[in-house]
Amino acid sequence: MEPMSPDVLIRQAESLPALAREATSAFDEAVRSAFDPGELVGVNRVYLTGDGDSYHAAEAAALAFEELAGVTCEPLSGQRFLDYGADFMPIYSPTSTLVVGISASGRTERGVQALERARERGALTAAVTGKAGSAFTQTAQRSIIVDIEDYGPSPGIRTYHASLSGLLLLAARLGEAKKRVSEADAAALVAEIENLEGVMTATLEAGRATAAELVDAWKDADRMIFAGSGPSYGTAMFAAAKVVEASGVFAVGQDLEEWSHVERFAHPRDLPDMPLVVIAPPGRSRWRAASLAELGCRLGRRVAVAAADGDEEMFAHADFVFQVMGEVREAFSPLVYHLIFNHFASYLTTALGRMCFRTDRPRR
Amino acid sequence: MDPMKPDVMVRQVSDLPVMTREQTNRFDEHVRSALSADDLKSVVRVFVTGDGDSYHAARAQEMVFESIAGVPCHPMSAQRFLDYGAEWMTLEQGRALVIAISASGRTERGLQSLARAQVFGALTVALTGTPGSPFTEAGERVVLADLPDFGRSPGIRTYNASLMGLTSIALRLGEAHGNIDAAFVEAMHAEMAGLSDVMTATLQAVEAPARAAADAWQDAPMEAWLGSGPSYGTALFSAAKVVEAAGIFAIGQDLEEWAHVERFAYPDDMPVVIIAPPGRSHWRAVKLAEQVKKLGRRLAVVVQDGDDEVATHADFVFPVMGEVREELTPLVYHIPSNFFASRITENLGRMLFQSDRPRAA
Repeated sequence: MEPMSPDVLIRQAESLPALAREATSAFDEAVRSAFDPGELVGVNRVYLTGDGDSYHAAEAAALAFEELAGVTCEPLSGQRFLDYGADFMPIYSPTSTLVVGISASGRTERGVQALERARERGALTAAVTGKAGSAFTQTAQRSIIVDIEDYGPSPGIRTYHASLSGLLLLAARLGEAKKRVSEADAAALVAEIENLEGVMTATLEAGRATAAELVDAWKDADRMIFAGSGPSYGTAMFAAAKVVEASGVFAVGQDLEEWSHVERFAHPRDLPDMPLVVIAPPGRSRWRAASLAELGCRLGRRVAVAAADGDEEMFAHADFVFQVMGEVREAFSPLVYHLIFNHFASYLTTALGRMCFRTDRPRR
Repeated sequence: MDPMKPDVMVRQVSDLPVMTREQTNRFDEHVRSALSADDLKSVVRVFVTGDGDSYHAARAQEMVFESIAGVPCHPMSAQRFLDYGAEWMTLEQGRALVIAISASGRTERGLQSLARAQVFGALTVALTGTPGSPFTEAGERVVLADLPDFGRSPGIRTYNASLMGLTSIALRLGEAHGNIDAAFVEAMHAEMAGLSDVMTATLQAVEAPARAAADAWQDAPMEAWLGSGPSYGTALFSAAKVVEAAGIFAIGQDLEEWAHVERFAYPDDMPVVIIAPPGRSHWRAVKLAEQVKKLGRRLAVVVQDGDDEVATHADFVFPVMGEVREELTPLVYHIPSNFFASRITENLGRMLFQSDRPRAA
């Protein structure tokens, strides 16, 4: 593989506001045309499965399925679903259980196997993928094609946005089919995603310089944690993954509460102030994010937070603040709250003199 | 806090064979007296919640609820359940059983979870090792998994007690639902008590290689423990012992996810431990072990004795000395991690839970 410059992350992230504006309607149409009329009415349980970014998207979208569609939602990594989840999922009718396999390339081996296993078990299967005519679309009964202009090889950022948008729109339309939300409300939810363009643009504008400052302050750290809960757990895992894939720094995503029970006790001699990033959008777990950031500071960690503009309580407990410039409902927050960490990952990779995915080194 | 020595972990793990033999039927008695058949028949799905070790136990025993009891199970960390899961329990018809776990019976988020679960109509069970604790007041039903006190330590005996309590609840749930019969439940309990012998042999077999791995890896600033299904819980628990004891940044991760994300992390020789019991995800563990070595990582594996398919790729092999049904593997497969964590803590001159350091204000 040719060396992959960290600049590609910036180019991808900077394109997301326009992507939200330009592609959301098409993605929504892809969701609406994927299913037969009335097919979604009986769905009462959804499994979302994928690997890497696709799994992070699944975790990030679960709240939307529960809150907007009123269905139980289980995100599982591809192999976990294949070997454990599939055999044990309850299926009451041909459309009671919907299994959504996610893969930008449409080729992920475990995802294809997971969809096959779900079909064997009698679930309704759908693929959310960027590739029509792929193994995913050939395996699933229904396909939601979220295809986007190809920006070339990169850690998945635009594809993550596309997968996540497809899932969130599916949740909204499932809610409409189940009469949990009205047709007008469903359309308003679609518009809400489209209109995130403004928030995304302002958030990028507000965060670029801070991301560069954060790299200057943290580039000595070879370990760091991103913590979040609910949809922000997906955001934390995705943001950490970009840091790993781009820079090779060992960054991990963790649940807010679990960090305070386990990783808070990590005390590397060479890194006693190991960095902690707290993802804290307004919502159900914002209260815990605040107390966690405060604990992080008290323990002597370097702390950065991503929070809504004006959330002074969060900012009081952080060395660095990434402000999200506008209101975003919690269920849609994963579309926005990861944005600036792509810049962080890119700048960090440059500062370390590395290339994405270790492409500057001989392949093993 | 007084400095807590690493050897308490060895003392704890060495007691597992005795407590397994002595407590299996006693804990089952506690389950039967706490939960009637009518209670258990009334529930159609299970949420298991807790923090830290208790969450790891929930993850580890999800499979026993699903594969043996035949009831869907959702493990969640307590704050996640409190803020997200509890409200959505009502999205499906039928009553939920919520089991909150806390060895001390005081975990704040667990107490809040029990209260919130009741608001949404679930039957709540407090699974705790401490009689008279706030948990016993908070759950509608109380299952005691209490043990003779061995003093302060990272939870090891209490973890196994939670696993045993969960297993007994799952078995009685499956029996109440008619998915398994009384004879099978009895046989399963005998199988669990019989793990005492496997544990004794495993303790002897893994102590030396676990300490050797600790000696060889004490320079490593970070490491990853990997597993899937019940072994994901084992991986989380094992990594937590290393963090709590030695302060080393160890993480538990899903097999497949590591291959997609953390495989790209430096340093090249970052230690990896794969938990690979016989079972549904063994095939993936085999492939991953090969990949891990190709990437230049240092590798240890926890496998059934004689499993050369995985062991052939490893620098260190921690053999489990006997057959263990996959659903029960979490009771046994974490044993090496306790020796490893204890030894590496000694080597680094540290005390458990940073108890040799001034407490943060």
